[in-house]
Amino acid sequence: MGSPVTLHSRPAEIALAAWSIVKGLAVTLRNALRPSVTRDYPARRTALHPRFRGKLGHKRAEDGRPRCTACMACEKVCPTLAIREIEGDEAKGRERRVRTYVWDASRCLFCNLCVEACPFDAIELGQEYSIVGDSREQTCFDLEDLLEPAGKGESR
Amino acid sequence: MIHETTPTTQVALNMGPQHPSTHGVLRLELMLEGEVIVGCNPIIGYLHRGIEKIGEARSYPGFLPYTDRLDYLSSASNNLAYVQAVEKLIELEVPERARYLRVMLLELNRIASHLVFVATFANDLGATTAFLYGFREREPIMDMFEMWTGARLTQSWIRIGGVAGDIPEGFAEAARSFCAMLLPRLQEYDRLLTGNHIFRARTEGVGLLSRDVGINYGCSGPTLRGSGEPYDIRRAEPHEVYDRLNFDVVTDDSADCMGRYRVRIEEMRQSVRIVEQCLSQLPAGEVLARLPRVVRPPEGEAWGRVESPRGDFGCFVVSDGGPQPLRVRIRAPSFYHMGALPEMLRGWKIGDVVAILGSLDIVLGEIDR
Ligand code: SF4
Ligand code: SF4
Repeated sequence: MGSPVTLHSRPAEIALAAWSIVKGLAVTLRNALRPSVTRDYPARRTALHPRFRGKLGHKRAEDGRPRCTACMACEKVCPTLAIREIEGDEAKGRERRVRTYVWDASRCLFCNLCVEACPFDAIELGQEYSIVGDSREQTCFDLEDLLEPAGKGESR
Repeated sequence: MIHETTPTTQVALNMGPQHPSTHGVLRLELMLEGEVIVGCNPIIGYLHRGIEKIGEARSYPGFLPYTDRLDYLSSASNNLAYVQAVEKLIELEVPERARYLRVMLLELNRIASHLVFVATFANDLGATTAFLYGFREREPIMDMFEMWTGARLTQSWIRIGGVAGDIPEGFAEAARSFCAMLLPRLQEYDRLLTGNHIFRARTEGVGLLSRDVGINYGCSGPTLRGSGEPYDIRRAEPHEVYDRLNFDVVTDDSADCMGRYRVRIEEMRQSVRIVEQCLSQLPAGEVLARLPRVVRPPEGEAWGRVESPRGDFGCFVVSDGGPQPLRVRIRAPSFYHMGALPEMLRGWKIGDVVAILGSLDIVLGEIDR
């Protein structure tokens, strides 16, 4: 089988290659003079777009109670079983309020299906993206961690 | 002369699965005679997650986010192939606006994917600067995806019945200014790479894939079009609104690494044209059709077919009438290109492996599934 490889050793070839490098460097130089596109993360962070899908959060109603009624729609729709242990208090129907709720970030696909499924607009995928931990437990969040801080003006 | 008289022993060499130029976790078992490749055996499966099997245990909408993880450089095309199959099963009419938005998302994904190809291909061949430029140009697209869908890579934005949400305010302007920015930048790459003597020496005439061999192996996409066969699902079997859009099916007759590279560069220009047309033709209206709470397609089977950046991406869904698919099968174009790889490598030297492999633009996520 004849080898398709040719040797580029003739002086003319070398000169051509060298000229290519010079031409390439001209492009590089032009780009070096363009404004920088990188940022010094984590000192300076880019602003995220409002639709960014990050850490799950529970919203509060005007009266300060969580909006979630523990209806389980999100748990049913979640393809990865990232939402679990939803329990509500004694009240029935719309008056019921969530008491326990676990969201496992390490299982979550950030697909938004739970948010779309929620009939009470109680959850959202928020802006926090650095969800890290040393163990599986540390990436599981319960209601306390998920519920947005109380008080007016907090609701995004 | 020595070469012909001295018997040489063949040496087996493993390339990968941790080799940076195998684009993921691919292992190539190369048989070498000196430096010349006499045989190659691609060993796949390191990224196997059983996605097809997972599909049998998820609801129809619930399987959608998994398809993102197949060809992760172009998640929209995976979403679309699956969604098309399901929509055929339930005979759902998709709103006009959603069809345009889907095409736009797909084409932006194609540009992003081809930019990654240019970047990594150049990097494999030693042009690190071009690598950074490719990723820089891709960044505004990622930013636009974040603005529209909330995620940069695995968007899961195409849904059964349309898309999950309309484009936000300011998106059209961002897309137009991106398109205007990309065209001159592509010209710059042409000067930097296509005209570069070293780059050309490493790609021209290297890794030939004749048209017939390509067809016989089931190759598609830019890999086959780089061998001169004008086969494009967007034309051959127009889906969504491609039949209403003006674009050229790019081919190149050289059938080598350079040809496949040129096809992709030109395809980005065509994608820019498509995005601009989508923006100007975009009709008003709904973006998501109404669906029952639980999707239960009638018994039957359907194929969804999409021209992904890598080629003919297909998804086959069988329904038994229940809330979960009976079977989901994925046709991943990269898998077929992998089959043709030994054919293309034979006779070339070991240094050409990264060039030939890189020119196929494989994604292991869809090969291993
Ligand atoms: S975003 Fe998706 S994966 Fe994550 S909790 Fe919601 S439904 Fe589950
Ligand atoms: S978050 Fe919404 S869907 Fe989930 S249990 Fe609460 S109310 Fe129901």
